[in-house]
Amino acid sequence: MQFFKTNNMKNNKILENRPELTNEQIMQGMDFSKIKNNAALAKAALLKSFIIKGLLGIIVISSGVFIYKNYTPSSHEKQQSVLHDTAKMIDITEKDSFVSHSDTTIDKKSSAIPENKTVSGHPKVAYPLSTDTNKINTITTDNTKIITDENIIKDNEPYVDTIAKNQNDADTRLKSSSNYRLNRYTKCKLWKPRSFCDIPGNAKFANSYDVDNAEYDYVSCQDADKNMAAMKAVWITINVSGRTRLQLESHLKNITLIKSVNGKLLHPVMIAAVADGSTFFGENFKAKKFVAHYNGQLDIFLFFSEAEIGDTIIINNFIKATILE
Amino acid sequence: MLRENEKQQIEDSKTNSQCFEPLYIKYYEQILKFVYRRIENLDDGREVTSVVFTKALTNINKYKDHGFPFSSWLYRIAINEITQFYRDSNKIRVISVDEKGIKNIAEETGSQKNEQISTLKKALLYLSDEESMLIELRYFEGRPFSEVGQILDITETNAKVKTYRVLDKLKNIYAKID
Repeated sequence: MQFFKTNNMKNNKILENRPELTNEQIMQGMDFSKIKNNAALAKAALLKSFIIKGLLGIIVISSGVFIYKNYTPSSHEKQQSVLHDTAKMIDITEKDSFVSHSDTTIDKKSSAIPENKTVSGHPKVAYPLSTDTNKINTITTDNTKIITDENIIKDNEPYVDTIAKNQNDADTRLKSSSNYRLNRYTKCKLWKPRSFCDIPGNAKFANSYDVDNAEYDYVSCQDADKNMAAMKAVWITINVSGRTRLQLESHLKNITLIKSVNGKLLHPVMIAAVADGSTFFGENFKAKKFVAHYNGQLDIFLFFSEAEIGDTIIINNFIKATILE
Repeated sequence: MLRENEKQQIEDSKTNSQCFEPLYIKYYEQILKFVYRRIENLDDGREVTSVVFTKALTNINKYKDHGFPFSSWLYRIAINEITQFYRDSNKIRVISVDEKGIKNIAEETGSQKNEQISTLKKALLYLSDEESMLIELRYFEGRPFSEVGQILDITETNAKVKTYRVLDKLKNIYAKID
C-alpha cells in the first residue's frame, strides 16, 4: 500500500476536542505596546535596508562611471582595439548606396584596362548594370575578366556606417564631420614621382570592386606624365588591418580637399588605380555605385588642381588627413 | 456604520500606529483562536499572533479595501505566518477536530457509524495543508463559503469546488483505509 507512505500523514497530528481558550488565556497574550514597538522596529529595519541598498546602488553606479571616465587603455589594448575594429570590417562607404541585387564585382586580378570608349582623347571605361546578382556580368572591354559568384562580396557583411543619409555636398559633410575614426592610422603627403608610372611598390590597391553603372575616362600613366604635370598628386596611406571598403561617388564628391590658405574646397579630378600590374588613372569618374574592397593597408593616389602641405583631405567623414610633407 | 468606523480606523492607522489599537483589540481573540487551532502550543500560538499583528501594522499602508472584512486580510497573514512557523520549527502540523465538525464531514461523506468516524479522522491526516485548511475553515470552524473564499483569497465558487473535491478525496482515502 504505497498510498499510506505519504509525508502528509507524518507531519500532521489530530487534536480532538481541545478545550476553548479562556478569557484569561486570551487576555494574557494581548500587548499592543509590544506590537507597536515591533512594528516600529520592523519599519526602521525596512527603511535602513532600503537606504543601505540605495547607497550601495549609488556607490556601484558612481564607481562604474568613475572607472569608465578614468579608464585609459594601454597601448597594447589600443592596438587590439584597432585590430578588433578593423577585423569587423571598416567601411568608408555610404550605407544607402548598397543595392545588392544589381551589383557587379570585379576582381583586382582580372580588372580591366579599358580601351573601348574614348572621351576627350581618353578611352572610357563603362561598367554595365547587372540585373541579377547570380548572373555573370560582362564588361565592355575585351580583356576584362569577371570573377565568379563566390567572389561577390555580400552586402550583409558587417560594416560601420559613417555618414548621414542626406549628406551629399561637401559643405554639409564638412560641418558634420565630427568622427574621423581612422585619423591615427592615416598618412598623407604630396606625391611627386619622376613618372606617374612609378607607383610605389609598397602601395596597396583594392582587391575587388563592387560596381554599378560606373564609368571614367582612362588616362595612362604616360599620358598623365605628359598632360597632367601641373596636377598635384596626394598619396594617402591608411594603415589598418582587416577588410575595408571605400566608396567613391560620382566626380569623387565624397573626397574633399580643404585649402589651408583660404578654406577653398576642391574635389579630386583623377584617382589612380592598378590593373594587371599597370598603373592608370580615372578622370571624370561617374558611378551609380562604386565600392573598392581592401584587405589591410590601403593607398589612395588623388590628383587635385592644387594641393600643398597643410591642406586637409576628408573622405566620407571617416578619414581626415592633413598633408604633412 | 461599524464598517465605516473600521475603515476610518484603518486609514488613521496608516499615519498613526496608535489608531491601530482598536482593531487589535477587536480582532486579537479571533486571530489567536484561528492560530491556536493550527498550532499545538499556546505560547507558540501567541507568538505567531503577535507576529501577525506586527506585520499587519507594518504593512497597513499596503492594505486596500476590496469590500471584504479587514479580518480576512488578517487571516491571510495568519495563514502565511502559520506556514512559516512550521517551516522554521519543524514541528508536526496540528489539525484540531471536534465531534460536531467530524459529524458534519461524516454527513457529507456518508460515513456516520462510529467506526467509520474513527477511520475518517485518520483520513484527515492524508490531506495537504491547503486541503486540511479548507476542511477546517468550513467544517470545524463553520465558516460560510464566502468567508472561506475571502480568507484563502479565492472566489466563493472556487472555495465550494475545492472543498467538495477534498471531500471526494476523503471518501477515496476512507475507502482505501477501510
